[in-house]
Amino acid sequence: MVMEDMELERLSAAMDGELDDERLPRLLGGCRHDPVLQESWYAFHLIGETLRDPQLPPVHLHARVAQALKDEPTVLVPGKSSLGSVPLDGVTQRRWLAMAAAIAVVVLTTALLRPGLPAANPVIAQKEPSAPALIENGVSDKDIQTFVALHRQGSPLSEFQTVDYTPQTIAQR
Amino acid sequence: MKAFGKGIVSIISLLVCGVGQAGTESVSDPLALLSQLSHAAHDQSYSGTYVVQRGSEIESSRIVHTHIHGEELTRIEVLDGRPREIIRDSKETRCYYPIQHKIRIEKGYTRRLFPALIEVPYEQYLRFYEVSRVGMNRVAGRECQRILLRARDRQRFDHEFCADANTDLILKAVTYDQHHEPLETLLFTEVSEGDSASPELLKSTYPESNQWKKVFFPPPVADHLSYQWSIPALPSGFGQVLQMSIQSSAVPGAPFEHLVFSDGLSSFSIFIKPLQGEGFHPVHAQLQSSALSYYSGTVGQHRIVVVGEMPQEVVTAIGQSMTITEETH
Repeated sequence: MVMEDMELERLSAAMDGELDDERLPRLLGGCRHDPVLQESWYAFHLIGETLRDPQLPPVHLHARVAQALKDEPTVLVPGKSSLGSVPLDGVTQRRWLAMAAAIAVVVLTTALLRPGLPAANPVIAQKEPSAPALIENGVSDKDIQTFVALHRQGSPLSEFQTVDYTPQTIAQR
Repeated sequence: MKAFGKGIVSIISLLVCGVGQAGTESVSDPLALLSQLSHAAHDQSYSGTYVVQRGSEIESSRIVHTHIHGEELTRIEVLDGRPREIIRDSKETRCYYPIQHKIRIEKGYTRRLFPALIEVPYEQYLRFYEVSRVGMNRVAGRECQRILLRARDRQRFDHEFCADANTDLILKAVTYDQHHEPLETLLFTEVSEGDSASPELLKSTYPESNQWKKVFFPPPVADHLSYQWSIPALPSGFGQVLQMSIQSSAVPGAPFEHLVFSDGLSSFSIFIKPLQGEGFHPVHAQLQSSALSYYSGTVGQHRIVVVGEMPQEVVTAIGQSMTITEETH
């Protein structure tokens, strides 16, 4: 086991309260000076909080991760501010890969195994409020509503009960 | 560094995709499956309560569907908001608006009524949607098979149905946006199949409606239009199902044309209205709490409005591509 992996293991043990009193101060001291250990500390806390939080808001992170991958995969690559432009050696790459995999597993399993959610169902992200309709250049909200109502009256796929029946929108010859 | 980044992305992608596709099963005979869904909705007798949800809008309705003397009959009573009642027989669909004392009568025009959402020709669905089974679910206390119709292009939305494991009746239907977030959901909260309903349950509860004003739909097409239109960006698979000339008190001015296009699961409307001094610049918007997208612009001396259950960029492209040629005398 390489040194970095041992430190990560000690970090994990410290967070679980299983690191002995002798090694704990040394590890914390290392954290103060080692930015990589600091990153790991933050990542482990994130994982722990995600697993423990029973009131996890319905943000459905895995759907967001999937969308982020689709739209802009690079958002998941650490930025220059944390790693700079220095090429990473093999050990550091392995550590980041392991952390990324761990975070992904936790995010996915947390989302899928949440009580009350059938595991066979895909988790559908809550629809966030859309931007309000653009109202400008002589097109009013009422204007839009009128054409929406007319569309629902004419579309063979609109549920009949959603067809507006206000006097203004019942089309007449 | 780039390869390293791809490595991380690949790991997460594999995990995400692996879960996302879990339980997906291709359908060996999708035509037969779609036929089963359609026949289950038309041939069986059933009654129940279902809910329509669009964003924050929720409305529930009571449905009774049966056959009497070989005629398919449906009655729907809207339970929330202003009262409405819909009665369909083999000849027409009548919608009763008791507050206004009006009846809207649709003849020669088939509007879908949940759960009869799949209609012939079934081949049209397969050209533009990929059909697969994606596991089981439970709706209205019943086990149901989830069936996904995934759009083969980005010009339409995905749809999912959950069909009763025993009767094939659609218990739930969901329309998803491009990010696979639900835009519109219809689902039974309770349903029972079986014996034919009493004829009394299929009659209107408004016997005095004979005196109400009747509005026939669709209204006729204008005898002669002074222009011709074309839509170069018409998405494949969408055919025109309706054209009518309408005048609405909510839209001042001369009568205007309303065109409706559909691919069987999605639809959009185009409105062409002669401008009478007013000016409009292009406006497009994804409508809040709705699967609808909206575009408004001008072509020559006409205002163009496109509204439909489609991605915003498709609706905008349709509107921006339109051309109108005035007839010369």
